[in-house]
Amino acid sequence: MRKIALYLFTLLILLLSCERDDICDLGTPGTPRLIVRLYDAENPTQLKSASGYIQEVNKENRHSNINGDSIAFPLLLSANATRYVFVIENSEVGTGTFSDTLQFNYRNRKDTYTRRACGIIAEYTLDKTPVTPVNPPSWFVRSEILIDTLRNEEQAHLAIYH
Amino acid sequence: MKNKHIWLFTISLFLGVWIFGQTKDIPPTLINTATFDIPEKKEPKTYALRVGLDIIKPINSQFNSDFQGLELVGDLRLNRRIFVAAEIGSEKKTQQSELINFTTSGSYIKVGVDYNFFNNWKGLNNALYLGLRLARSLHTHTVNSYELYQLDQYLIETTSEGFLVGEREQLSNGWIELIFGTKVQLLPNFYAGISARLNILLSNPQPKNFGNLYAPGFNKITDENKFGAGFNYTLTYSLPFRFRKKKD
Repeated sequence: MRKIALYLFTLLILLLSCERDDICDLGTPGTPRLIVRLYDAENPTQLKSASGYIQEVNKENRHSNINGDSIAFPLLLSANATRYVFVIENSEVGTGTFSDTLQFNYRNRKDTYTRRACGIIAEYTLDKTPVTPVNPPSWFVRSEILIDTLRNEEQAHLAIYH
Repeated sequence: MKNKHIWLFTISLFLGVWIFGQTKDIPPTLINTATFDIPEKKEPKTYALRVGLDIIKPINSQFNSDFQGLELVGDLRLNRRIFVAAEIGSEKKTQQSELINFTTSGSYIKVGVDYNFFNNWKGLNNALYLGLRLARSLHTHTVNSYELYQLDQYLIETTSEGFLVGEREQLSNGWIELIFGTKVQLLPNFYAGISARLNILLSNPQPKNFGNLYAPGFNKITDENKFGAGFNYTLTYSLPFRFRKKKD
């Protein structure tokens, strides 16, 4: 009887030493990025592609290249605004690029603890004026909120007309 | 002298396999204390109160700035088999769990019995025992700083004030410990002991907007798993005493 107990105890100790560390599944949603879809300013129901790249103003490297009508990028959540430079190729003229610095405005950051492996994620709400151009814009025309509270990345949150 | 060295060696080895060679199957009915009472009726029963501390925690506190802790241990010998045992301790530990840095501080108490299944030679009081404890902690977590979990690593910020940073409400975990350990006499009345503990959570309350990731005395608490493990390495001093026999 006691021998069995000892075997079990030793086995449990061994199992514990092999305990797997929790890993946050890559499919787990993290803090949502802002998802922007690009529309034609002259024909507001039509999506309009652009190509170029975006870069946060204080970073030295690009976030990503734009090639299509959809962009997703993170925001600085310690502040209530993040500025990105949009460098867009001018398709109509053929050469040259537009370079607009756009400020994205938001508030009401709310953090939620999920679990040990994944930690804390945030949600936040876009301001009524979600985009303010820092300089007179050459590419950007206007913006429109599609979903004001960013809880996930399932749908686009913001439309930019250009 | 030789015996002492053998025991020291044994403590440092702490092999499970070795134990099996030492145990004999004693029918559980023999655990009945009455059976083991020393037949000499003339001598009064000798009890012994053994008190001491876990030496790992103070050493760890000395060398690790993220940890402060102390554990006092004690047991009361009822007879050569049965000991009533308890540990009380206090800890303050700062640690990093993935992207969150937090501090846990609190204390715990563990009360239970040890059953010594080692057959000593006359005059020796070494022990090889299995133990059971009921344990409870009282502790609080404080989130010091964290990074948000995000799949896009372009902008990484540390939040060290506001939002979820701060102290949470007090929690109390309950658990059971299954113990296997040994105690060896090094000098007259001085003992060294080591024990390994398997902890099984009974209750696991969660703080608001954080996880109960650690409990003093229990150690790491993982999601979806109620088991934990711990050990201690103790130095104790034993005070034997007898109750004066009442005159008939």
